[in-house]
Amino acid sequence: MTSLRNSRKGLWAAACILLSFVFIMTVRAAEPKPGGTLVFGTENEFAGFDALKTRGFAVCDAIANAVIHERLFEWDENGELLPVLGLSAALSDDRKVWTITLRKGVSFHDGTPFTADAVVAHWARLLKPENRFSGRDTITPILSVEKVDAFTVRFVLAHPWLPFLETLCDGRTLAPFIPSPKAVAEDKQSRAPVGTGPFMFKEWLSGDRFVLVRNPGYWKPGKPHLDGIVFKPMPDHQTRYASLESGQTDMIWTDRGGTIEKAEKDERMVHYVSEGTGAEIFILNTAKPPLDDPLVRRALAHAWNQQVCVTLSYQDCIPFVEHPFGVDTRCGDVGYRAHDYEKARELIAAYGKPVEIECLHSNTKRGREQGELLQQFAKQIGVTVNPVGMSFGPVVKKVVTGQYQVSTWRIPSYRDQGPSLYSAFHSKSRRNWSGYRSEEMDRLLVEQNTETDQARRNALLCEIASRINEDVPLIYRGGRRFHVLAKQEVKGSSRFQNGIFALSDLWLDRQPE
Amino acid sequence: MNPPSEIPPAAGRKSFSEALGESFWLSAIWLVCVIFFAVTADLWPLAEYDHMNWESPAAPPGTEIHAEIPGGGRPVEMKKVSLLGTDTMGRDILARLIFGARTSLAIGLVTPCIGMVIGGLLGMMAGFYRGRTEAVIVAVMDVILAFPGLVFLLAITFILGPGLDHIILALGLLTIPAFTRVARANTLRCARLEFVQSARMLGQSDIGILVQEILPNVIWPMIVYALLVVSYMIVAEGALSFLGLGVPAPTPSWGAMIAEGKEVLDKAPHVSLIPAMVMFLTVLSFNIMGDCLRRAVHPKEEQL
Amino acid sequence: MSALGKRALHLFLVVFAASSVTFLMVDLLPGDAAYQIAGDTATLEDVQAIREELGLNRSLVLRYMNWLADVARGDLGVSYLTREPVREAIMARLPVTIELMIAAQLIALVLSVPAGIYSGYRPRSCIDRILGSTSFAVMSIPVFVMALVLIYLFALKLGWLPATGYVPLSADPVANIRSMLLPALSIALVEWVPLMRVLRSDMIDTLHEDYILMARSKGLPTHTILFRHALRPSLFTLVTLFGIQVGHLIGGALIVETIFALPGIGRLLIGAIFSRDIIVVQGCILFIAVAYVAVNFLVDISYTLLDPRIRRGGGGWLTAPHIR
Repeated sequence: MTSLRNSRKGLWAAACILLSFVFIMTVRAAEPKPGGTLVFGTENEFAGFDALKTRGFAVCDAIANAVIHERLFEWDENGELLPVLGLSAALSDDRKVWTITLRKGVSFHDGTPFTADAVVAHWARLLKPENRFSGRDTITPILSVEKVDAFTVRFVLAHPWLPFLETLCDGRTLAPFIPSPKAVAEDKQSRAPVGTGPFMFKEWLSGDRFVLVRNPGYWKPGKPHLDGIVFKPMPDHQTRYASLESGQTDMIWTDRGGTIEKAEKDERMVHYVSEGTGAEIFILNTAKPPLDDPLVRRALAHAWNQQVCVTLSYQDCIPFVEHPFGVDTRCGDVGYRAHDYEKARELIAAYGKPVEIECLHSNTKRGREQGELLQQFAKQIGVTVNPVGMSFGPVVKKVVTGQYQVSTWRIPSYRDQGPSLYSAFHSKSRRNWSGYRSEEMDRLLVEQNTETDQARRNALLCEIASRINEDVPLIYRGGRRFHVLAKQEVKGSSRFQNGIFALSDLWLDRQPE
Repeated sequence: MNPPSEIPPAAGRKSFSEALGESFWLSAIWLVCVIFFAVTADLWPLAEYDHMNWESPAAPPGTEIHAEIPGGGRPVEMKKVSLLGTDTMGRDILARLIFGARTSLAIGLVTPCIGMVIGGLLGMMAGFYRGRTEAVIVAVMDVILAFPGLVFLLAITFILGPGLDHIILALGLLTIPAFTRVARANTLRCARLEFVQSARMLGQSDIGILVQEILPNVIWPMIVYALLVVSYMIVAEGALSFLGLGVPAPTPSWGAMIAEGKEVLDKAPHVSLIPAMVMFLTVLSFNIMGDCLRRAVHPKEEQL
Repeated sequence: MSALGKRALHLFLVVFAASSVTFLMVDLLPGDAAYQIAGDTATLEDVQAIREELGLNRSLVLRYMNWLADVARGDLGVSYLTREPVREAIMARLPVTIELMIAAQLIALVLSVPAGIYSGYRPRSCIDRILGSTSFAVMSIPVFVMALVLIYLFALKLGWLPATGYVPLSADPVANIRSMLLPALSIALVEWVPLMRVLRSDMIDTLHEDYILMARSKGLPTHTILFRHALRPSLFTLVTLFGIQVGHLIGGALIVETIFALPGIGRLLIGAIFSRDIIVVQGCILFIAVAYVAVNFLVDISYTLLDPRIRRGGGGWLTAPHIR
């Protein structure tokens, strides 16, 4: 007994010492340690960093992009505007001119000073019609960008436009980030990007690594803490997680429930989550029989069980959604067509003809699951669905040229969904791939674009979501939610907005090797 | 090539079936079972192979699931114990295994046959005639080998459309070069042997020499290789099905079932391992049968 | 024509045929690179403009001729998608692919040759049966499952080897070998089976040849018979398959490269095929075709080493049909 008691005492003492040690460590740990290189495991190889030339700019690309380049403004966790390269933004009385003052004393990695000329050159390049900037449909209200003086620029709009700053500073696209005019002129920006950010491009070994080093002349004093960041494309998510466990990476991107579940059980890991806007969808071709009949589309929508898709195929790592504005946006009842076989069978009976549909999906395991799920649900209401797996290019070709019936598709994750909804559903839009035509929808889309009252505009957007659910040009497969897994040692930030984890302020709490 | 006088008396007295040995019969029983179930799959009270149980994905063997039993009209839904568990989409593994046997056996068996017949013929011609014939055949085979198989499969699927027959055809054509080279190598090896030369002296025709003298020496290495290609092809089809190049959904196949289980390998290894096991036993059975047959045909081996 | 000249002609024809057929077929597939580049925010005008910019709207023959002319000048072109020079992309990935191939095939040989010899020497013995069933069991486990099991075992449980990644040989030779072990083993565990099985089968055949029986009756020791007399003539099929496997691995081991995040040719080629990045596909094919021809040439030479009488047959009596 005594020996046991003694050993217990010993244990207590050890625990106390350990605890105080931990306490000292945590106090000390609050102080960022400089140095170290962070290794980030991404899902894909980067596409490039030139706003005009780079297409297929994915979310992991955006994470890397945001530490090399900077925007005029950012938002903090509470949605307050943070000055970055821009210091202040003022709107004219007629709400058609934005005047933005710029930060002084900043220079690009190549030594070029950051001035109004860099901003104007960048935006003029994007706005020039001949350049066919891929995002031009979402910035149509911007007429021109002018230099006022060396550190002031003016954006002139065609009409009052509420989501101006949201669009101007959306981290998910390349346009808001100001590149070095010299690198752009020399056509190097795509593969050797030059910006003003805390990290500078060092090398890019295709398929293997994308290496960034600390920018010693960064304008924020004392930042960044890390010596460098290495991005490694790791296409297989199971081994990406294994490499986090066994120490080849410090942080990984993931979209698999299985790995998230494991990380949550593992005390060495931290799981960061960011809610996103947009949605994973099936796009329906409303211009082609039998889906030109709303009865068939509504029947499919009722047959489809989004919850099962989210649970079974996505292992609950994305949310169930009724509209594309993100789970944080409340729209009330938007008339979502819930899973209901009886209703679906009634609708298909009202249509009266046998229905057979081809469903395009991406040639991955998850893509195949989506096709099989739709096939299975449709079978219950007597509709035949033939899933066809294809790689990205051919799917795009079929959808863009209207030679499809149903295809997996996506509503991109933008801070403001207005412009992207406009280009997806306005009858005159060149990107209306579902071929959806509705006067009511056109009216709503135009109104939300010019509405100047935030609350009224939000109501209009919700009404658009209701119309989508009413006429079913798309079926939601799930919303967007983004996940990053990191080791405990990775400290300093949890700013994770719309899929972009801010790596700029991170530091590593471990002994230098 | 084995004069009967060389057969030792002990082996000679054994009946043919005795010479095959019991492992042969065990293998045969397994294969007959697999083929029997594959053929009569529709007659058994199995769960529908494409019916998904949302509540129980990747359930372990013995879980009770809701199964739809195909009846006269609308399928009858009832509770049923899933003997081998369910896959990641909650479908009954047993039902998928049995229906998948049709697809996988067709791919696994027909594909190497295409390669063996065409490749064997070309390889024997190349090794026997040599000269220009050989140069042309070798060049064509090098081209096929260097040509990315995936492009060929994509092209076949695009031109002929998806479907089991097209996949078998395409995969079969892709196996030809390997068989050609194996056949050529062995033809080269045995064409200089005395019996071939003497046959030539005796004025036997080329076809006669190829069939009677060379084929028996080339056929075993080819069969040994072909039996290995069986499992290669079954697995390959699984990988292809995720690229949209396999058998169209919802038709199951062993390869796709094995590949699907990769995601849950740590949580539910049975999803991958049960089909892999069935494939293993099947391929092993083919190989044991091949080996035993060969011994029964060449009883001389018993001497060693 | 000299033997060397013949080889050069063969090489040229194979490369030309492989590249032109690939060009034709990739072009035939639906959805060209322009759709891939334009992406899901494309408009038809965008696609047209990109096509114009890349020269995709010119005729097939013209584009192929253009490519040939560039290659003749030593320029493999620039990727449509990433704008990366193709020669750089291939050169960057070459060390990984070649190292992986060598390591995998070495392991496969080390496993298969002794196993094949013993199994052929004592067929249907206990060890032969064990080797046989294990090899088929290993073959029934697809590479991607095998790789995950190996990672789980050696990287996570035992912590001996890194789970993923590639370290260049020049940077750190030890780390390089460590990073290559698991990928090479995953490939070798599948590749050794065919080698072992064909060696076993050929060994069984050879051991029944009269000269072996004669050597045996003379009382030569078993190891002399096996290694001196029986092994060489039994290697024909093994060497042939070995050559095909090597060629195959030079074209990249896609699954292993993907799982272990290795920057090899396989990922480059498949990515290019799916995105219809024809310039990259062509660059890879060029390289792979040359590699195949070279490897198969070496295999053919090895036949004459295995049995010197074969070379004599080249232009001599085996072309007899005409003489007779």
